[in-house]
Amino acid sequence: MRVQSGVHKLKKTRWEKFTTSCYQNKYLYLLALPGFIWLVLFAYKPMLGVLMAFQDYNIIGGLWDSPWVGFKHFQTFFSGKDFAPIMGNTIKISLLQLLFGFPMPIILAIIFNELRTGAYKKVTQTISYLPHFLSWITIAGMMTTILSPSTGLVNNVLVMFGIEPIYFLAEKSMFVPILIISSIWKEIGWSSVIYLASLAGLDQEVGEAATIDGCTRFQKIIYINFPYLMSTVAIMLILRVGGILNAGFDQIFNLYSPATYDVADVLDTYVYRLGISGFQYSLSTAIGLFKSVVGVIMVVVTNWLTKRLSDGEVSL
Amino acid sequence: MKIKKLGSDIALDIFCYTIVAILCLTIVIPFWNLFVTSVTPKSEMTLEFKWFPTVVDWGAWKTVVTSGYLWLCFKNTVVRTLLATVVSLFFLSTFAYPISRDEFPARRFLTTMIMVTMFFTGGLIPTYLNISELGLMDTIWALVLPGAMSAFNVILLKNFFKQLPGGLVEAAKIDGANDVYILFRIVLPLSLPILATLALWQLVGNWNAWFDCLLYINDRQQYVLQIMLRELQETVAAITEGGAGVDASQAPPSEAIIATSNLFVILPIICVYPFLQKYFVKGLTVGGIKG
Repeated sequence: MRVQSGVHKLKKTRWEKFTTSCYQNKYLYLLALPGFIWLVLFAYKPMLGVLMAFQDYNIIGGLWDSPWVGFKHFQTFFSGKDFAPIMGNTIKISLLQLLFGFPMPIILAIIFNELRTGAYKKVTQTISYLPHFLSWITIAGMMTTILSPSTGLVNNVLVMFGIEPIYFLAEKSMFVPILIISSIWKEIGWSSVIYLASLAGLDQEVGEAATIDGCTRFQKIIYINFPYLMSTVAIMLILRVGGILNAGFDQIFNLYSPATYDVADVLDTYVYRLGISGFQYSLSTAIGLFKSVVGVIMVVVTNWLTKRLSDGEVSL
Repeated sequence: MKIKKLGSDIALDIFCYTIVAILCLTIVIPFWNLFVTSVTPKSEMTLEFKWFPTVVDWGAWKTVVTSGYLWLCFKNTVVRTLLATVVSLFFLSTFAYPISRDEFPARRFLTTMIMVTMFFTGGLIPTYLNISELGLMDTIWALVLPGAMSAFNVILLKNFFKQLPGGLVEAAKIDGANDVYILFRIVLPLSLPILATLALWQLVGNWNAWFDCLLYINDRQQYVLQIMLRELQETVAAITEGGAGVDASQAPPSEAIIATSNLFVILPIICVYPFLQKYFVKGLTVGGIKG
């Protein structure tokens, strides 16, 4: 009897505790409410929508009444004739972007770090950030202007050297190099900021000690600055690897044309054309899901790998 | 020995200063060329290299600046940019504050909820259908709401709130202030630097945003500048309201019109960003990516 009343009492106090806690924190709950509603409507509802990858989705039936078809759409995609070229283009463009684009800001940061503080450094840094703040639409517009076969700046120069004008944006062999050069051009300055900030944390005394020991500035860059940057480099690399199937939708979408689809079509542009222009909702959702699963796996694996290799020193 | 060292240092200096100069030239020259193209009349549009325009013709600028449709898109872009920034700051701060308070019971749950969105998203089609199901198609909310929160910004703001002196909030509580009052009257005024950074990110992001407009807006009257620019690159006629175009015989060359409209869209950013870049940089470095 006593035990029972004890339990009863405990239950009551728990419930009481809960309600008082709710009451005490009512303003905090109230503040969190708009964000919570946003999360449900704009993040979690579309996440649930991913289920349509396993259905033959139709607008009328919606997610509730469309028939379930298992992995049919994944099979269609993996065995379809588009799979090999699309995956090939995606991985090729993405890897080349990483290979050429990733080291550039690191090198630039080291170079900026060697400039003496002053107007020159400040102005050049500011100019180097500029393209980052522009959209790929405006940059694509600029590129059509300067790469134009009839009036463009680049062809102007080619003609000056006696070379025939080239219609760059319609030339298959030119497309990927144009992508890589233009994205380096756009992001090199801004991406260097993170490395510059990291270099600013380097203890001045280390450099001074090295100078006394007879190190040249070049040796200091190689043996002090560069190794010092390595942990930041590793983090940035992990972040990039997760996006290995992101070949850069905005850039490609604004630069490609039917003339260059063969070399330019990647997963994201394919999903767009298939889903938005072609209304193949289930199939394109399946491809999108495949892409994000690969992305998550890549992040987890690289993170684990770098952690192992660096003895737990570097990880996200 | 000393002289040799000096020599290599000078070489390094020359190398660094030159590389940086070349980089800046590759950025400045295309913009200058864009301007030259924008003032070149049809008769001068040739494959001849010119540093400066041989004949200056402001025809394209006149066409662009007097285009009512361009100003309509400009207005749409300004409205969307300002509204999205205000809405985003509201959602971010009201959500980040509670999860920064240790005594808030739902803190863990809500933090996890937002962190998950960093790794999983619905993807293009479910997101698109969601906006359509919510009835936001062809409304400005389709451009404003989906980008209002992001896990990265919430965590950034939460961490900023956390490092504010805790005594302030406690003192206000003892004085009987509630959390809504504390957030808007005490915490937010102390967080102006980080709010400025977040606001700038939103401003630039929204000014440059185009994909959402392409997806969710079908009504030409609601187009933003970026989408107009995109259409313009396909057909110069897009600069007029109905897409009917301008009289071809009278019109300035299409290259000039495209170049001018491009400059028109870029100009606000060029004018503003050099003065505000320190806020951008601060946000990037405070943002927590550290070795």
